Amino acid sequence: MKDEGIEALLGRLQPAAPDDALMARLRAARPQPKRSRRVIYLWAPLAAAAVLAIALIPRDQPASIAPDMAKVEEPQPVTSLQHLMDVADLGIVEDENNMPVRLIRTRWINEVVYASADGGEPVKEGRLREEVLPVSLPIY
Amino acid sequence: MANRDTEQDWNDWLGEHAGRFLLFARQQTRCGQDAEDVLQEALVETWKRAGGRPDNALVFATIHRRAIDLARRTDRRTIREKASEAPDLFSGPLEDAEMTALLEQEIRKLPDAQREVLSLKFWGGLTFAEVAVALDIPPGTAASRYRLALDALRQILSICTI
Repeated sequence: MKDEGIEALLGRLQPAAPDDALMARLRAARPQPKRSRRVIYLWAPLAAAAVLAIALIPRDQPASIAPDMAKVEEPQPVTSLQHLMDVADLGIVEDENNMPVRLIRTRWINEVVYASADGGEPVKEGRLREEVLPVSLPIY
Repeated sequence: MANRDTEQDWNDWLGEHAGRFLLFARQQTRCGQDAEDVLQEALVETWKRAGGRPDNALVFATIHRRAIDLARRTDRRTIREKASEAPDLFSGPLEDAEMTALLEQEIRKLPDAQREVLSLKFWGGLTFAEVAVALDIPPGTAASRYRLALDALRQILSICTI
C-alpha cells in the first residue's frame, strides 16, 4: 500500500463532531468584546476641551453692542458652563483616507446664566447637547 | 450590532473548526471531560488574544500547552481512572464502520509524538512548519514523525487486508 492509499483511507475519517451539549457550552463561553481603554484616556482631551470652551466664553457683555440691539428685551447670556455627562464609544470607521477613526458620542449639559433685564437675580438655563466626535487612532 | 456580529463570527468559527480542535484536545488529554475543559480554555484564550478569529496553528499550540499544564496538575491515579473513558475520535461512512473502528484503534496505538503530528497535519490542516510551531519541535522532526506514523499504519493495514 502506497502513501496515497493510506492517506485516502485516513481521508474517509472525519473528526467526531462535538455533541450538542459541548457546542452549547462553547457558544456560551464566547469572550465578551472588551471596551477599548482608549475611551478612558479620551476623557482627558475632552475635559480639556470643555475647560477651553468655558475660558473662551465672554463673561461680560461686549462693549460694541449696537444701541438698537441693547434695547431688545431678551435676556442676555453672561456666563456658560459645559458639563460633560457621558461618553460612549460608537465604534471604529474608516475616513476618506481609509484610516481608522473612532467615533465618540459625548453628551453635555450647557448651563447658561442670563442677566435679568430688570437687574434682579440672574436666570439659569440648562440645555442638553450631544456631539459625535471623530478621534483618529494612533497607528504603529 | 458589532456585538451581534462577534457572536455570529464566534458561532461560525466553532461550527467550522470545533471538531478538529476537539479531536486534537482528545488526543492530548486522558478523558473526554479534560479534553472539553482544555478545548474551551484554549478557544477562549486564543480568541481573546487575537481579538477575533485566531490562527488555527495558535489554537492547536494553546491546546497542546494547556493539556500539558492539566497533566501536571492531575495525579497519576486520576489519569489511570480516567483513561478508560476515552470517547470516539472519528466518524466515518456507515458502510465503513468496521474500517473506521480499525483505523481509529491503530491510530490510538501510535506513539503520542507520531499521533499528534498526524492529527495536526491531516485533520488539522497545518503545514509541517505550523505543526512544528504548535508542538515546539523542529519542522524536520514533524515531517519524519508523520512519515513514521504513515509507515506504521501502512504495515498494520497491509496485514489486516491480506
